[in-house]
Amino acid sequence: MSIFRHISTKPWLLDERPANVIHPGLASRTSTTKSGLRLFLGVITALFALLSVAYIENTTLAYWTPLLEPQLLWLNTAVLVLSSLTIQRARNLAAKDLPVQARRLLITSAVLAVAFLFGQMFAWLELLQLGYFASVNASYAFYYLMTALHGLHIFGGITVLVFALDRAYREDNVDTIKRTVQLCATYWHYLLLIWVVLFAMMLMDNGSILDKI
Amino acid sequence: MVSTNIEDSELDSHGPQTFLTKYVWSQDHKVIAIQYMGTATAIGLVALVLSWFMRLQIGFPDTFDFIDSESYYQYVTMHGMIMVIYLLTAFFLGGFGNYLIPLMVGARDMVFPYLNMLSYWFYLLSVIILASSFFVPGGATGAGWTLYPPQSILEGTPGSDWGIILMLVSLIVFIIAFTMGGLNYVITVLQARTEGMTMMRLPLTIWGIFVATIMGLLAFPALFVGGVMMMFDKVLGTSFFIPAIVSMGESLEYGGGSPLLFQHLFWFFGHPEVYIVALPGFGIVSDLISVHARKNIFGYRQMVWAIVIIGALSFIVWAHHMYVSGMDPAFGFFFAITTLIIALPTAIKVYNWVLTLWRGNIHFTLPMLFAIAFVFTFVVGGLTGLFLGNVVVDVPLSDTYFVVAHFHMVMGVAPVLVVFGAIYHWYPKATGRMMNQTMGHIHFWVTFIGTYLIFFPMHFLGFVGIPRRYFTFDGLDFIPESALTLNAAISIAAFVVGAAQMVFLFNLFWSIRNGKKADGNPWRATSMEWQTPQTPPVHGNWGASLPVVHRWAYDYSLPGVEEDFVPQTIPVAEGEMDER
Ligand code: HEM
Ligand SMILES: [Cu+2]
Repeated sequence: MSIFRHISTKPWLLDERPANVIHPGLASRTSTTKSGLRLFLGVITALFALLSVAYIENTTLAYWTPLLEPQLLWLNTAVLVLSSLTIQRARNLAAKDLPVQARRLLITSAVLAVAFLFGQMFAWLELLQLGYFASVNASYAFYYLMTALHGLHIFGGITVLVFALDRAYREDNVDTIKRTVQLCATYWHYLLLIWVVLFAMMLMDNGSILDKI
Repeated sequence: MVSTNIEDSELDSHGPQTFLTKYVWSQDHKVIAIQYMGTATAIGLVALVLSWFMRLQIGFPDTFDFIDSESYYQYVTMHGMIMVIYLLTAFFLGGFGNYLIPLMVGARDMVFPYLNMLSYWFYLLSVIILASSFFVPGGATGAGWTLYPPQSILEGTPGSDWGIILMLVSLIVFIIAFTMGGLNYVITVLQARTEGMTMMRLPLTIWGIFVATIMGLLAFPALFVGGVMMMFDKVLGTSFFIPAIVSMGESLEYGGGSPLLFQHLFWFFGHPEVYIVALPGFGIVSDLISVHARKNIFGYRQMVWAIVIIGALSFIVWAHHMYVSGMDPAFGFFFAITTLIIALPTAIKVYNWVLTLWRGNIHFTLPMLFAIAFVFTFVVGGLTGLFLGNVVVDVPLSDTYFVVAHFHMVMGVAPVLVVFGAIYHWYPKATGRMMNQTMGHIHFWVTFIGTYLIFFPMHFLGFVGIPRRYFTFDGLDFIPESALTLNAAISIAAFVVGAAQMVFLFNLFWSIRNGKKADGNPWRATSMEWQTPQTPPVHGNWGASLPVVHRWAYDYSLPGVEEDFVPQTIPVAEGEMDER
């Protein structure tokens, strides 16, 4: 692996190769934002992984009662999947140098993501009307917590997308759009993955999940 | 503005021109660094004053009316939290990280300048929220910096309403700020290094900051999760962390939660946090020692590896803070072993510092004095850490002043000494002037000897069994009279040390105008930040074109070279190879 090659060099020895051969020192905006996003996804992973560990640990406690999932969650999941599909399509279109179509599909994805958020809120309302507040049981507490944190991340994604679209309009630059679409698509897919994992955990919550796997 | 390192600017100064964009809403890493340092210092002073209040009470009980048991707990809590997070973390990463990373890797700025600016403003917001908690009904939280539930959110603990809520909100905002900054630091080191600057040519300062930032990015989410969950418990009445409790004869609404879960989340963050402030310190000290001993750092590669290994190991030792919370003996055994293993890479670092000094051309400049003082202090704190890492030794010593002595030595005083050394070292780069020597020496000797007088005797207080976080020792008959006398003496030392910090602060401002003028490289150092065309560096750092790096950062006292240092920007001379 290159990391091991890196850290086993001996920098105190003189290296007479030209500097740009040793390290070219070229970083483009595209690669920095891409790595930035990857690192950020790493942080999110840590966040949701810790949350999941806490969740799984709680399902083993004596007071745990399984969550009564609102059926609406299935519909919401479908909407989120659709949003991911459209953004993937947008990415493909952008790669084929069709920025106008790509932009249209990006907007569709954003709208679908907003729909997902509203759907999640309706699911909350449904449970709240039935009297299942967060304080009823840890399973509900976790449900509200996890959907809220996930929703906030979706919301953040939409906000960034809107700003990026606005900029892409003004600059009217194919490369900007390409880059925007790529980054957003990665983020979208990842948040879909997180949602699927969270939802699956909530579905498997009677007794310890660990026993089930 | 795109500030990655490929752009070379044609203009000399293309930076923002108005006062507001230059110094307030600035996206320049140097200005943001100073903003971070200034804010951290301001809130750090609050923490210092709180420590005086605590020492007043402990040294001279029942003398001061304004300190009661409630306010004492608030002082302990706020002092601890501010010192660890809002002062040290912010100073090392937001302050030195921002100032030094672009300069030392040869970049024009951070890769995401706008995010970097946001990071500072979020940090400022978190500090303001924290400080405002002193003024809400019930006052700041008194739950201890560990914020253990259930007590932190239940009646009976000071500030269990607004105080704790504001503390949690402030922490959450801080974590957001840190994440925005952290993404910048990591990606800048990875991708914005200038031509010729390989990872292994980076100064150890950058390695320390780099690894510490990655650790922070992985560890802070644990505090975030714990904080949000506790917020739910407090505001929405959930019971994540609250078991069934009977309070004053009535059973509370809560029930079914696990207080231990919070402890795990907290220390999964809390232990790495110790190294988040230690690793940048390690890195900086390595560079200070090397520059001021005119010698290359001994075992550069080992130093890098040790930083990385310590960073990784520190994620699997957290439960050594929970020996007394009750755990399976097998777990206790595991965590004791991992804790002791961390001592190995740490010891290697200490040996390498000492070996760098050995037969070096030591200049007892202020940065060097602080660096050596750091090594002494850190070794003492580290050794007592080995005591506490063992379950059987920890159990009787836990929650005594032995622990207070240990962690102040290792993560309080030691990193603070590095901060001072680093400020004396880089001040001429940031301002173009040297700091005053006389005031610096007063500051150094009083601080170094004074902190020993404060914290060294606390080990003995711990052996006697004097408990930590106690407002009064009345009624504890086992405490001998002499311990109380000792406490009074410690308090006096604490006030003197505090006064010495005022000398430092005065020096900091006084020297901006009156310090001796410094040229661009007063310490004759090799690393990139000393090679900027202007001092202080202007916007864009490097003038028209980026520098090119030809060697590592430690070419001091080379045989056959006239000057005793060769900057990283100097190409390999013909025949230099044969000379070595
Ligand atoms: C002159 C300097 C300092 C003095 C006199 C001082 C004094 C104290 C005192 C009296 C306590 C409370 C002991 C108790 O009642 O249990 C305390 C706690 C603490 N201090 Fe310091 N301190 C100083 C600097 C620092 C620094 C630089 C740090 C940075 C890490 C720090 C971190 C802490 C922490 C984490 C606690 C524990 C708070 C808690 O128990 O919740 N202190 N300090
Ligand atoms: Cu620890």
